[in-house]
Amino acid sequence: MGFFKRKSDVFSSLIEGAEGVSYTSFYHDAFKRLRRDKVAMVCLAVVVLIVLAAIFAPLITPYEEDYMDIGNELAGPSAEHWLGTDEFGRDVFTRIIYGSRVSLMVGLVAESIAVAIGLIVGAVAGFYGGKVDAVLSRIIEIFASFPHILFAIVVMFVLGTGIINVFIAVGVVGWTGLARVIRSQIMQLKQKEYVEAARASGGRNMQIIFRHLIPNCLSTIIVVATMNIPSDIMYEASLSFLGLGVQPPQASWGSMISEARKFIRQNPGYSVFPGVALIITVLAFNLLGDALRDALDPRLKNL
Amino acid sequence: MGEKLLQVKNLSTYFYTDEGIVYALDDVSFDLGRGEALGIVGESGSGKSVTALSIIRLVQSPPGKIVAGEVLLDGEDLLKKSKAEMRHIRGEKVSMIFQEPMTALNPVFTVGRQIMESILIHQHKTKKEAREQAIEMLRLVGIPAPEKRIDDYPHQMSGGMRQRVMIAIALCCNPQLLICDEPTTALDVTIQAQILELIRDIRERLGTSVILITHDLGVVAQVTDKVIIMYAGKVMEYGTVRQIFTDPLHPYTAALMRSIPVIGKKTERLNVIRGMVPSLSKRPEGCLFHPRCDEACDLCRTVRPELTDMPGGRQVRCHKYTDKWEETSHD
Amino acid sequence: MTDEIILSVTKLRKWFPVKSSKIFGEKQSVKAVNDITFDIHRGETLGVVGESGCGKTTLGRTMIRLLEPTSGKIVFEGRDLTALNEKEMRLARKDLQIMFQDPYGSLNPRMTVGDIITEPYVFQKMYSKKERIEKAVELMKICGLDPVYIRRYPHEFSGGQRQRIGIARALALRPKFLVCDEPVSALDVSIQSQIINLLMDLQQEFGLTYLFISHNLSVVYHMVDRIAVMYLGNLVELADKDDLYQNTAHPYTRALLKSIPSLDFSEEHKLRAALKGDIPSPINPPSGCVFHTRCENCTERCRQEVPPLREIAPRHFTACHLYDGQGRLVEN
Repeated sequence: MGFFKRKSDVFSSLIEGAEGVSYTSFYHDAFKRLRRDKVAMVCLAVVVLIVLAAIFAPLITPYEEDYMDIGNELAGPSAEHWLGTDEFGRDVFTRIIYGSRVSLMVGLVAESIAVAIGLIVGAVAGFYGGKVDAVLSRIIEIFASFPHILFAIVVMFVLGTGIINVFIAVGVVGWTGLARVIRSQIMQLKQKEYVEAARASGGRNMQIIFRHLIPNCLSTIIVVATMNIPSDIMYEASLSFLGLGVQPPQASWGSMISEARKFIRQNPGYSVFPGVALIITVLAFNLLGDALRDALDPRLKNL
Repeated sequence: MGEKLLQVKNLSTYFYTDEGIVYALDDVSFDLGRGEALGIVGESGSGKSVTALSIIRLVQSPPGKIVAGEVLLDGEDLLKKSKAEMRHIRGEKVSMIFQEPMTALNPVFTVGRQIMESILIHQHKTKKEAREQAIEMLRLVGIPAPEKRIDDYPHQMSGGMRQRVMIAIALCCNPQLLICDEPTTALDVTIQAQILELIRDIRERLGTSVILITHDLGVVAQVTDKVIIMYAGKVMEYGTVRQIFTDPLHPYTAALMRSIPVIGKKTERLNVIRGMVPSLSKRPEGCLFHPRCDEACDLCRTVRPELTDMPGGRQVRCHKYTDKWEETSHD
Repeated sequence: MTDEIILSVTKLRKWFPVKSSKIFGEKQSVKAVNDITFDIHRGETLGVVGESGCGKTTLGRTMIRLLEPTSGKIVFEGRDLTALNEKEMRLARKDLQIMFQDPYGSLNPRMTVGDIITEPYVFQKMYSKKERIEKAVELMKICGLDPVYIRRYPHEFSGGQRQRIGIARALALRPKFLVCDEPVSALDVSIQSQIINLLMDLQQEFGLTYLFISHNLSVVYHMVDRIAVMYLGNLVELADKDDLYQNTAHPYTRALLKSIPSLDFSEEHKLRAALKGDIPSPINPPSGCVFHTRCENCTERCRQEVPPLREIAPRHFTACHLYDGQGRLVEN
């Protein structure tokens, strides 16, 4: 797709005046719309901030992830420990920053797994229809009919604890929604006249899927994935809270809240701050997803 | 006739969008006599539908806004009415039918119920009386076996039938003015002929004034007496069907007539109006049609022409018919 | 136009199965194209007219095997297209192209004009990338588009320009036969004539043969050499255009012609509804002649016997019991 954009040098030699002509792709347009949305831009900034914090965690945190300030356990916020310390005297702020790594990785990796499964199943079901669709749709329904968190717990029991297994569990749980959306969208798209035109000039099924169908699903995928990330983060937090996810001493917002439960009287901040971090992150992704849908979804655009 | 039912004076409706102000309707004036039928013809973006929506004040706002003008129905300005008053006027005095009869009808109610609803809103009648009137209305619009069809759902009817139902709903309070916005565009030719005959018949029998909005000059020729040709939100020409079809004055009208293929007429090539309809937010200077006009001169490129009265009660918006034209030199 | 036949269809049939409402009900089909037989000559334009649901669009799609025919033969330049396997058919598609009605739905919104026009070369593995761009530039010029816009996306063009892009794409493989499915129906009157003229010029220049599908009889009259009239999946009349308009044989064609709102505003030309009622369902078409339910000349025979397509005058075919094998009007 789009080699006409990259091969601009070929153009200038072939078409006089082509260089000065402006062109806006669909995504240019969508981004312009997104930029006008103030809430979206704030959310985007928050997300970027969290991502930067996660990447540069060692540079911005005042302590090591597992440095214990012995004798200063369960302290409240102070100049030394901005958000206080936990039961081992570890800095809560430091651990929240390191915890964001887990949350973002879950969002990224688990959602990638979910998108991969959902896209393939949805596209195949939608494109081929008939019996293939009937079988795949039943499989989607079976997966979707389990309560998600229970299903994730079962998967974790089978696979054992650990961060990699959290990715897998959350990914395997979260693909059904996307599969359904992609299936119905592909079903609509394959009726389009440009797909017929491609067929009329000899396009093969795979060429049609990759050149016409998936690029037109891309905005849906982006939106659905963005809106799924918060629930993925919540699943990880829940699993870690239940002790099935990330194992100590690694920090995760879920496990921090879980641990802090016992010390809520001594140091309320210990349980509140990870929760606030979780809420801010989830809210930012949710609102960003909403805004992306408004910017990318052509059906809503015309309202 | 003669007596004026509707007078539209200097009506302007703009849409305020991110791309700028869209001058959808700009200084439009026309009259409609009692029992008269007026055709409004134009291409997409000419403002013909906005005219209708502005008259019954159904322009979506925001982004749309009626910024100036008067719409006098029986001497009363509709633009000064309250929303509640307007709701009564719509349906009782002015009714409108739309292009797409499937989306205008509610799919979950029977057509009978939808006709009765509009009777019950506007008239003091019992349900039984309303049902009887609904059957009568369906008979009026030529639906066979109306006692049975009244309990059908919209999807059980064909496109032509649905348009008849829409007309029945529009007529059930015996309005003085019926506005038809592209009533036959979605229909097949044989069905179109049926609906056009029905509209003509209703006008003759009930004396309803009709405004027919269409892009099809042929449709207008069949139904109306007077025609307005619109282009880019402005009235370009106004006159009787005979005047405009035999002797179009405006270069746009003339070019439009020549670009339509006619059965039985041997033409090697169709006349082409070059270029395309201008963007209504970035309108050209001078006459809005000048970039596509073969006769355009410097005057047309700089000065916006006014609507000029012509002999025979016609009007045309073109410098050709003004004194200024004589003064400037032409090649 | 020559007398050489470029494409002929024999008893072409396309039925779409529909789900029966009853579990053990009979299998039902929409008879969209029902045993249609005709020839198209090289270089001519054959118009196909009819109302919605008459099967004209399905006919166009089936003739180039965009839809698989249920039965029947499609012979293009002496080769039976229905006998080709998938790979052979893909190659044969170079000669058979189609352009569509909807200037918005027929172009992929995520592709640039250049990508859209050169896509057929990708599928057919023709030319290098540089050659493809050169071809695209040439095609854009032919179709009246400024090649500087090659990197623009479809939404940046008007309806008429988009139709030009569609034409350029259809011409990319230098086809011999082009199905034009309502190419001007979605366009404004002033733009419509631009596209009609372009199509006619291209036919001259490239010696194209057109199947021109439209519901607008005036446009068809202007564009075509011969006209085929369809009703409910059946071919009811086929003749040279002037012959069809002057010596209309089939009652349906007559009604269709009478229903066109003409620019003539005089009282005697006032449009009168020529047909009562609606088109019957194509799932359960009427027995005998499919038109008998709305025909004013209907007889007992029409209700029972399907009229065959017969030549009632040289090059004038109709399927109606009013005419016998010699083309004489049968006395009732």
